[in-house]
Amino acid sequence: MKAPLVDPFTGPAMLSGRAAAVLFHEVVGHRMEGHRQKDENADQTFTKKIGKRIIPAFLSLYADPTMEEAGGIPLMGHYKYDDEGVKARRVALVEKGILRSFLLSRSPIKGFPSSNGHGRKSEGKWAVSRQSNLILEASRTMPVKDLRKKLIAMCKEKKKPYGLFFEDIEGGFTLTGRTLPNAFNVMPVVVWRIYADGRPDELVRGVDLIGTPLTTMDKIVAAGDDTGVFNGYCGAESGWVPVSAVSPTLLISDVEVQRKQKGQERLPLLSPPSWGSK
Amino acid sequence: MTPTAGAVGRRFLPGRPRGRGISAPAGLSVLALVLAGTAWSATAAPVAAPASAAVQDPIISALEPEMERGFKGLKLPGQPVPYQLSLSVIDFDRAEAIARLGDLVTDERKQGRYLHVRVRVGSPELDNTNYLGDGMWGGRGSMRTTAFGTDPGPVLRDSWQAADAAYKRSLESLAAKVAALKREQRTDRPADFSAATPGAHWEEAARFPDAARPALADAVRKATEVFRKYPSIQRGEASGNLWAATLRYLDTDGFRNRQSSVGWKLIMVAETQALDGASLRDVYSGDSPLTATGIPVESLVKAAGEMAARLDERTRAPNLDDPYLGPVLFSAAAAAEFARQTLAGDLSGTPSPVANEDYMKAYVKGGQLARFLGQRILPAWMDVTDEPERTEWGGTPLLGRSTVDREGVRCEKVELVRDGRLRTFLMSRTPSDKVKTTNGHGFIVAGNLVKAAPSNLILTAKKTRSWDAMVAELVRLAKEDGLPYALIVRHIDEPPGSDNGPRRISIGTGEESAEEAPSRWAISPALDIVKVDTATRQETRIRGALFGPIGIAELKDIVAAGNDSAVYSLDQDPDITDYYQGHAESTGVSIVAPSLLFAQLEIRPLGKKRRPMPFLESPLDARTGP
Repeated sequence: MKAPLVDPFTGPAMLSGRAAAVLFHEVVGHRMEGHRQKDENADQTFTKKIGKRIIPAFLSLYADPTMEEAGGIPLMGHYKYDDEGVKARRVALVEKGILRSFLLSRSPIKGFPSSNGHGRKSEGKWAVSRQSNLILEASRTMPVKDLRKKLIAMCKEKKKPYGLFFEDIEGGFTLTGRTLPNAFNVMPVVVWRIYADGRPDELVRGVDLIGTPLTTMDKIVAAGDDTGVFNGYCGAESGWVPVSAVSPTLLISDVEVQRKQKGQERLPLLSPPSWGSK
Repeated sequence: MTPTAGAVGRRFLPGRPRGRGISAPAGLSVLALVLAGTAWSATAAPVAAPASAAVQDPIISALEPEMERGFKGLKLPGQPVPYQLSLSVIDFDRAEAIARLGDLVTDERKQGRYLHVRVRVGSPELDNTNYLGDGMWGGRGSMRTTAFGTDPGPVLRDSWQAADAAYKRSLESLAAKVAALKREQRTDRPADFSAATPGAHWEEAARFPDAARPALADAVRKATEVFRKYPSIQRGEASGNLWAATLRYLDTDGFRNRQSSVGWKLIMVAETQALDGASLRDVYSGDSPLTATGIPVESLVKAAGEMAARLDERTRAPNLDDPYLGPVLFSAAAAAEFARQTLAGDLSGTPSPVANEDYMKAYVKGGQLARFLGQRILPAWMDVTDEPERTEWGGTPLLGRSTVDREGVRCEKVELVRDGRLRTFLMSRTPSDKVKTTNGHGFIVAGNLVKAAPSNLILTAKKTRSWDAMVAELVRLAKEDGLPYALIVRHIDEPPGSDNGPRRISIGTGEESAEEAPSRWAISPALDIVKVDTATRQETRIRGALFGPIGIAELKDIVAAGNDSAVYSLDQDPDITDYYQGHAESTGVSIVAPSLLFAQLEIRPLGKKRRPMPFLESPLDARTGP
């Protein structure tokens, strides 16, 4: 409540594993969903990029509904069969930065004639290809404390007084159509300013992490040796489905933040009523 | 309310759900963190009012000082302060069971507590209430869920926040209302709030007996088992509700009360198609206080059987082929249903609210009886009273029994129509230009609007006849008109959707204001209707009968009443609920009527629309067909 508001900012940032997991869910995961590759109204960002590099080469991305937990945390995106009765299986979406496959329901797409067990839906909906457990793995990692040092170094290099650390997030959304900007918004709840001059970290509030898919992916420069898990529900055409996203902490050379929507409601006129604790 | 199963038992309707979560449009995908996830009619025996009212109830005891603190402390610089603050705390315990073909589809129980804070700013002559405006819908009070345990702490905290929000909204409403009034020329606007004498009334907190819940499940199971015998019925479902509600009310005028109710409701809906493809449906709605005899399972099963047999017969019955204009006899049950869709809502004297757009007034307009005060609206041998303290009629428990209304005011018996003449209206503390004081009928609360509504509305006749004599008179009148047949109606459909008040068809020329435009009542189609051959008196079931618009003239021309009577009870949703975004409380009502013979009604054919029959026969046909 007392933390200062942040102005719009561009500069280096570190995303905790949970925050990075949501970023990948929104930015890459939704664009891996097979049916979007044949939807003329969808952005089709990655449709023609099979065999090409779409994220840094030290990163690989899997969808694995067979995983029940990661780092000791149960994964909500686990299932044995999808909603079309197809057996769940691990799908290598991106290997060493190279796009290899998409998430597939029984609705085939060019070059991918069969389901890979990702036809999902909520009650009363038709299944489409959806995410399950989205796992980001890094072949080159460093301790998170070193990521922080690197963040500070980048700030100095870019002459930025501070970088941002997105510690926790509440969710996000992305626009995958063509009529509106092909952008994403990740909504953090705990954000810190990490000062380049050695001042203590400062808790701030009132910002959303925004951007466009290709630019943001290109700016990931390093990954931590930790694992963050985000469990939640994903809403799209076929309803709400439980999903998980797993990622190490990521360092990004440039992010953009915008002010959060806020209300101007006056504080309560009276102090809270007093009442003894139970 | 459309009596589809699952939408029943809403005796109290705060925060009606309006779609859950976000429906992601095409191209928008959302990952959201989701951390894994009434009715009101008094039946409990009143207890003597204590010397110190608040000691009866720990929640009221705790809320009293907080209410006073808000009343005295809520103030924004340069703005009016509250002149009245009230709190309602409503505990509910509700069980629901839904069944199809003898098996349960749903069996669940929900408990909770609602807190509703209303703040009046300005003065009784002109305050923030009785106003509808763009985006604010009348400066609704602040209603929220709160903890339902015995610790008043969470309730206090919620009431603090709710009062704060209600005060701020009240200021917005008052300013907007004053601005809206500046666009009007009228000088005869009634005051917004009338005086009333404070009092206290206490009843034991409500609970339903443990045995009632399995009895409810048993009732819906057994009732729907009946449908197995009728493969012609494509869909049949029974939805039962059991509730216990305790309402606490306190305000800064000094009203204190706790009322309770325990009741049940059962709605059965069956749907099918006639042989020609026309859609057919039937509905049974039973709604009653829970008495010592419990849920009458056997009579509900009997009602299900009658409904199923009737619907099955209707699949083969001829459609009404030509419009009918002539005498129509309503059985007592149908007459009570008819009164619900006509008189019941329009006997409210609550005036239309101020609105910043004229069309909004139509949402809560006073009704077509408003201008007929002192005039004859029924035959001179008919009376209509509203009797809140009456508990039964001919052995049937009445749902509308209340001792005090939602403003804490003691309910009065009201003679609404005597000798056919409209004498007064049902009133809350919101006065009208014709009736200035409350008679304790403020039963419907929607935001800061408290609308008067019936409790136990009783239609009686001083001059009655036997059913046979009524039929004879029906036939005589039809013959007089040269008609080959007359019509008898035994059951009419429920109003559709959330349309709970009287449905009116405005027949204005477009030159009048929304309040001035004359209107007529629209009645739901007849579900149980027979032709009576005027020569042979033979009865033939028909289907597809829709009433033409009905006005006061038709009521006045009722030619006879039976020496019988029937009770029709329902949860009385406010017709204005939707315009208050669910911030509303409703109440139970019972309507008592004798069979009635109308001199002339217009009935038109209905059911020309056809849809293909199912390609395959019902699987029940082969196994359990009759």
